[in-house]
Amino acid sequence: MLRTLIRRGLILTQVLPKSNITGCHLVSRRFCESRTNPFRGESQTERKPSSQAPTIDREKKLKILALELEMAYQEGRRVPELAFLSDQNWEHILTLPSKSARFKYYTFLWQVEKKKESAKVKKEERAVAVQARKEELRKQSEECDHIIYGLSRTTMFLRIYDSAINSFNNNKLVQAMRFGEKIVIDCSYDDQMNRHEAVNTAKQLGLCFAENRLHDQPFDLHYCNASLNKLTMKTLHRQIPTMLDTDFPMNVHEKCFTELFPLQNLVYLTPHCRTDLVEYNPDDIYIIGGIVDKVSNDPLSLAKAKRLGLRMAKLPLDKYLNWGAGSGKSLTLNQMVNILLDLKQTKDWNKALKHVPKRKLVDFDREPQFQERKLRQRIEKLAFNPNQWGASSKKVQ
Amino acid sequence: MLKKKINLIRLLSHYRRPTSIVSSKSDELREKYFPKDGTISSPAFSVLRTVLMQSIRHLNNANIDAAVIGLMSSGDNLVNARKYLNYLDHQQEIPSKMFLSKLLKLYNSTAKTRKLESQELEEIQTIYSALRKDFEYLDSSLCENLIYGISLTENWREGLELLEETRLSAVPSTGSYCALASKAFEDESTFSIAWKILEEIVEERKEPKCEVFTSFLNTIKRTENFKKHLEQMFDFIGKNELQVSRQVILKLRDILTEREIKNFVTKISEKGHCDICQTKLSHLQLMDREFNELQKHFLQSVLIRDDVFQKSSPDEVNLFLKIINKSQPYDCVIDGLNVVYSSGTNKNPKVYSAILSSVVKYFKDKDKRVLIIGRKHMLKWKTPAMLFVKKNADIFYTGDLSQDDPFLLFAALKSGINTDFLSRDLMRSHSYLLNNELKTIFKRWQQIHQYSLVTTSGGMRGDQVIVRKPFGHCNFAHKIGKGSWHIPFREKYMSNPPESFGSPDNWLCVQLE
Repeated sequence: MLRTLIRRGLILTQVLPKSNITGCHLVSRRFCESRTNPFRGESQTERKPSSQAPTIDREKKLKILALELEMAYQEGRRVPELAFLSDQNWEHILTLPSKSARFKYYTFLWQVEKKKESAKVKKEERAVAVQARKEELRKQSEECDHIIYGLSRTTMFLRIYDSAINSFNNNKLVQAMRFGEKIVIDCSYDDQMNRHEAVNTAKQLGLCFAENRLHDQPFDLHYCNASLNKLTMKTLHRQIPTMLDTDFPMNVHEKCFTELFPLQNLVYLTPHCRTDLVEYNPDDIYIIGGIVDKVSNDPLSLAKAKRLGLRMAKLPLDKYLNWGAGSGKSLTLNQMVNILLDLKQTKDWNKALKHVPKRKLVDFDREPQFQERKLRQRIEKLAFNPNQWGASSKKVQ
Repeated sequence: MLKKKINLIRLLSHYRRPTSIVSSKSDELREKYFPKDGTISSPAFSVLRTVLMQSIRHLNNANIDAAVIGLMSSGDNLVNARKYLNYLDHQQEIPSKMFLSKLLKLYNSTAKTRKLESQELEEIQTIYSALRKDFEYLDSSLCENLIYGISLTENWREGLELLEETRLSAVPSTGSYCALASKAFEDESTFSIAWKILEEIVEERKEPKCEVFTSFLNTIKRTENFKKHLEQMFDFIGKNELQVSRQVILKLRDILTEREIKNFVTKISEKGHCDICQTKLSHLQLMDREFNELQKHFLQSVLIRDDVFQKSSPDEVNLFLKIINKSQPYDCVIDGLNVVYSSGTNKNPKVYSAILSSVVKYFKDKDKRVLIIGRKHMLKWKTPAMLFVKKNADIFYTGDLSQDDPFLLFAALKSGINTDFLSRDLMRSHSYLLNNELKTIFKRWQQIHQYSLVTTSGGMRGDQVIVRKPFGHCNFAHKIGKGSWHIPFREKYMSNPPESFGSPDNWLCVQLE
């Protein structure tokens, strides 16, 4: 019986990804600083890839990975269907170093797939509902014999167009560029970030520009050390295509801030130093390190400031805020810019530090309820049965 | 109430969302549809399939088969799985490849509880050959399941090719390695293959499972070269610093007792004596070559790395090297701030300097030459106790923004192979930066030379200092004298054991001669 079944059963339609994937090899994590390091020698820190991993060619690897995905799908794991993956996805998968990294990425793609599916279903449902409502309105107006009153939608107020608001904001920004205080974002950390972090940085840099522009008293914001052929700036350029136009109010320099501004005025804001910034000094030019460090927490900005011999400072975060456990004290770049904007305007740390997300802080009055709620939410989200879990984990032991 | 809540929080923090769609509900489903005693009838399978597909959103025709066999993963469900296959055949449906490969895995787990019949082995071979024929390439999960299957049969050597194939896309799993190794251990003539596989397992930094050793012990108990084989196993676990589980030790004891070889479960005292035979365990040793290697690469790997400014500055490193070259050797290097903060942070300099001075006095009384590594802000402590410290010890202050640990470790290394250091810090973040070979050497060096401060007491001029000495004896299986083996073991098999510094709790003392 088995024999016949298998002979009949195993007619496999070969599963293959679209093989027209082209493109370059991405991601080189560590790089050599362009400035010379007096102690540079052969590095011991490089972790060797698994000693026995053989090298194989790309086509073969793609076929194997496609099979891996297909098998995981058949196994009922949280992975997307083969057809869902795009060439870019495969390109990224090829760069991932291990099986577990790949499966994390598959799970992420699975979530995206499911979200897309349910959005599609909802859209269809909505279309049906709209159609029904229209039908009902049409019926009502047919039944009603009266004329419909109104001034045929005219108003006595002037309409303010988006472009008017836009040029108002740009005007503010250009004023700031001529007369305002300067601030610098140091975009030189591309090579210390992975792909994900670099894209995040680009997003935050875009937000920095936008939120600075909307503020009452914007800074004269300078993006320094920007190398346009690297991922962060490329992504930012895709977000703001007019970024490099001469009439666009944005300063992007390939030069370092040390070449653009007097050294004695520069203050590098780095969380790793031990001096608090006491008050905002309009003569100083503050530098924010343009980095998202989710993976490693090396004191890169500290090293940079030390190397250049600049003054350093950090925000007095512990002096003014009660920090909750867990989420860390890292802030995004746009939060930093917002804090400095409000500090400049109000000279009041309490107001400026309102931009620190509430979830990172402890509200002592409401803390117990908050914890309770969070716990309950998590339990629900995981559809978690504590008794069962406890029992089964005991069994395992 | 509070206790219950804390418990819940702890459980939640360990909880991971299962990667499989079904597994969160599997216990419930198993209870409902799998009678413990009997088998399932064909109509019940249709019901099961419909219920599963209705109740779990993401199940469909493509992944239902593997989901069903996933529910059958435990014990004697082989009968049910084969019935399900029959049922599919009856329905004229094609089982998914994953289902078939998981069936092989199920055969394997059944083989652990009972001996398979020859007809079943034939079936395994059939499924295996069919799956092999179907694919041009294999991915790691298929390879793994195929290995589970083929390792039950006479053709298990094909599994070795599959291991190679797995490496194309992933590191082979411990399970597949061990399935092959235990099969190879079933015959004395293939021992060399098994040992080779075991070497590969430890090279991947994985722990061999108990089944490998049990299979090995079962085979050697009938052989002539019993002692030779046994010593080979002891050598292997000693060399790789493995700890086997109690289960293996029980098996081992049975066999030893059968052969009338003396063996005892024992404990090792803090000074390294065995409770039963009273022999002293060997001291840990570091080869000069190893030590020199560590000394040579430490500064570059841990302190300087890609950018010296992250942890220090070039000037500081140069100054440090100049000073240390001139003033070495020291007998002991003290992590000043670590020692001082053992009393808690946020105390006044008086307390701090008192502790430091009593520790310095402790070493001075033993006629040791001491170097203290501190930070520049300690220069502000202007107390009489500090005068005593400065008179009796050398102090190197690193900058406030520099890390002091790498300086401490390097000073101790530079001073020579006999220099100790005093710190409570296990220095994991620093050893992490070394490569695998140096990591092992560094840990060994730490185990020999790291003293830690337990407490200082006796008021301001506290003179009572308790310092914990390193264990310093071998904490892995080793032979003393002619044939006296001491083998540490743990209660349960751990796939990812924590790093240990002290002496293991449980030992087996074996007198082979």
